[in-house]
Amino acid sequence: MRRLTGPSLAVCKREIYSYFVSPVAYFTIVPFLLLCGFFFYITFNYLSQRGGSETAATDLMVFAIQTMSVLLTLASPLLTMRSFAEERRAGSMELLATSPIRERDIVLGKFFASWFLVGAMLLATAPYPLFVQRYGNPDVAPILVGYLGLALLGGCLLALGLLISSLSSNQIVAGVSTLGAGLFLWMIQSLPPAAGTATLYGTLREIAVYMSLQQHLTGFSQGVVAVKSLVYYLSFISVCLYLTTVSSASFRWK
Amino acid sequence: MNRSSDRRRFVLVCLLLSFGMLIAAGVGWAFGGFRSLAFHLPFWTSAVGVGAVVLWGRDQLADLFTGRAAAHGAAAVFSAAAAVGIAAMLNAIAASRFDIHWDSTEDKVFTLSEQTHAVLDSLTENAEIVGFFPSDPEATRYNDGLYADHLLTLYRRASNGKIDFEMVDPYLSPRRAQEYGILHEGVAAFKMAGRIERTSSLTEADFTAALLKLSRGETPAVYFLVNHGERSLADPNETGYTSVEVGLMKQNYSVEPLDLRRAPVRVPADAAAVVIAGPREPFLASELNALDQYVDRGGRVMALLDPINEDKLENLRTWLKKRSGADIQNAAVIDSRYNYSADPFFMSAQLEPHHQITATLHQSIRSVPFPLASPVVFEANVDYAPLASSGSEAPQSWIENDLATAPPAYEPGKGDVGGPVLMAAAVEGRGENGARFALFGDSDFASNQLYAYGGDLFLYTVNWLTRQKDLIAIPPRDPTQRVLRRPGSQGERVAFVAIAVFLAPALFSIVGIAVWLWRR
Repeated sequence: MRRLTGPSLAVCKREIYSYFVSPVAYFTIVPFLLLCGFFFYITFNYLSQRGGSETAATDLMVFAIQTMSVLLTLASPLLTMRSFAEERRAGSMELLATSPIRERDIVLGKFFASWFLVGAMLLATAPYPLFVQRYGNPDVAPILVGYLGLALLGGCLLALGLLISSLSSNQIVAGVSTLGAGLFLWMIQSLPPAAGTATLYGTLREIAVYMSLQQHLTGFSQGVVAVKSLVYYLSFISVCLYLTTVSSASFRWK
Repeated sequence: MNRSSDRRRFVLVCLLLSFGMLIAAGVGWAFGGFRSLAFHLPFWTSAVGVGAVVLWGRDQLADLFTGRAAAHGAAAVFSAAAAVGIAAMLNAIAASRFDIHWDSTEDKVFTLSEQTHAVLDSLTENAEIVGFFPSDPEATRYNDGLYADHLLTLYRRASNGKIDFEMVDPYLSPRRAQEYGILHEGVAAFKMAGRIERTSSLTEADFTAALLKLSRGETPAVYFLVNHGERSLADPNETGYTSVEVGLMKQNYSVEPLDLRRAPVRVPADAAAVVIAGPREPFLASELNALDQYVDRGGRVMALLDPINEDKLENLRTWLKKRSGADIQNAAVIDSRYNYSADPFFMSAQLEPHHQITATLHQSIRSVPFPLASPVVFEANVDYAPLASSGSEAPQSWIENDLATAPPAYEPGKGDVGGPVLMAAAVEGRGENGARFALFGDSDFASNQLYAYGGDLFLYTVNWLTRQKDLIAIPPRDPTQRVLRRPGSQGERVAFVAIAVFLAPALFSIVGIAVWLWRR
């Protein structure tokens, strides 16, 4: 991934502005926060009523982070489905293609704008750990690591959404496809069990489970940063953004 | 024209397929190794694809890259495939050859102890571990399997290639289960040089103990003397020592009773240590003679003697004093400062931080309850290492010689000696063969009732006696409690719901409505 430079920063600002002046941001953020808050509250209630659990504060934050990851999977298509599909439909893709801005800057600008929005969504959940701090004694570092994992997972989902949006001229198709791909990369960890990890199916299943976005989040949510998970998330984002650049560049020579 | 176009398409498909299969082979190699089908299948498919292009599509290969759109298209496809390939290889390497984690938890929940690292470093042979757990998420022990998988991953990572493991579903692979003698699910089988060790307890201590036992290839025997009213290994009640037996067996010891009143009157040759735990009846001369011979051979003796009203252990005390230099007196140690009970004789013995037995223990617990303890007194010329003492000076702590009168009072004129008072000590290098002694003025601390507090002190002492240094350093896991309490008042609960559930969505809704109105 590259640093945000002048042209991409300009695109990023324009995208953030367009997010917040259109209903998209609010129709994504408000239900996301309502559902997160609701699940957090009922889980807090349940765990604090049990009384005897010595890991209740840890369990609550692990659950909250896992819940947020599922809701992010559902919400991210709303943020990315119109990114390129809408440009294609409205005919502004020709303008972009003939402008002096390079495809790479356009893609990075759009990606960082949507990532900014996800960051804002996650920041708005800050009261949860603060509540856990007030009513218990959580381990702070794993919570921060969990949020880092969520941010990276969000980045992957957004990069995937941008790629799919760049392949379609219909934003509904792009949104539904992104949702399907996101759910697939979540559910892939639930493949039928293998008799053993040393068999062919066992190895293939291990590879499939490794490709699951949520599987890598498990370590982050528990406070463990694994190099392989960092490599997976960052390479996933990089490849998706590169493919998006290639896909949008094809508009010039097709 | 059409045939040429078809052939060009065929060449492109073959090349892309070959490239993809080559990436898949790389990933298969990283996860399954060179000999796995996951490597061979895509690798040879890729080779067939390249061969097909060479045989039938050489001329069309050049056509692919001529013409503006074709050249752009081919370049785009290949650069995209290269990006995916590089990412796949990076991940394969990171997953299989560069497995590094950072554990951010305060208690290092996901990190192996230094002791386990020491054991792994000392392994001279490779070990294979097979976890037999159900792979059906609905199964009761499915989560145990996930935990075992996580723990074994840590072992594999720390072993520098000496350990490999796989998880096997005993219901889907009954033959593997049979091979390892597995009768039920939820067992980890450790195999080294043909020897197999199984454990159904999924803790780091158990896994490390299994590896240690395999690497040593032996089971040290600890003998407990019987027939003098000692603590019973078979007594599951509060005063019994069944927990001690279980604890020792978990650390690879075989635990046996030893009756020196029956022939042959001698300590078995395989005795790694002899424990005299709270005797009340006198010892025969022949028994002490057998112990003498054992100590002469460099034996290891752990003696735990409580104060008793009618002392019948004079000959044992004399023998201990002669052989170890320690006089475990029939008196009581009082420490009112560290007495957390209504019983005036109860006290908590303060552990010494510097001895090998207590150093690690001292990091997590500073004291061990000694409900009624005798003083351990040494003459000036004896070299010994203190393990536990009373933590105060007179008049809070002293040696009370009058066991019959309660409450006890510090009376220096009647022979009471002021504290701090030694209650446990270790002595080594006695005699020509370097016998070792661990001397305790209490045997209650390791009883079933207090095992949770004093069990480790007992086990660490046996480990030291039998020179099992690598087991001594296992730090007991004492994770920080992270409980949650409910909001106290009704107002607090309402504020909780309002802030946690509604505040942020409400703020974003207000901003959204304001923007909508402004846009209109």
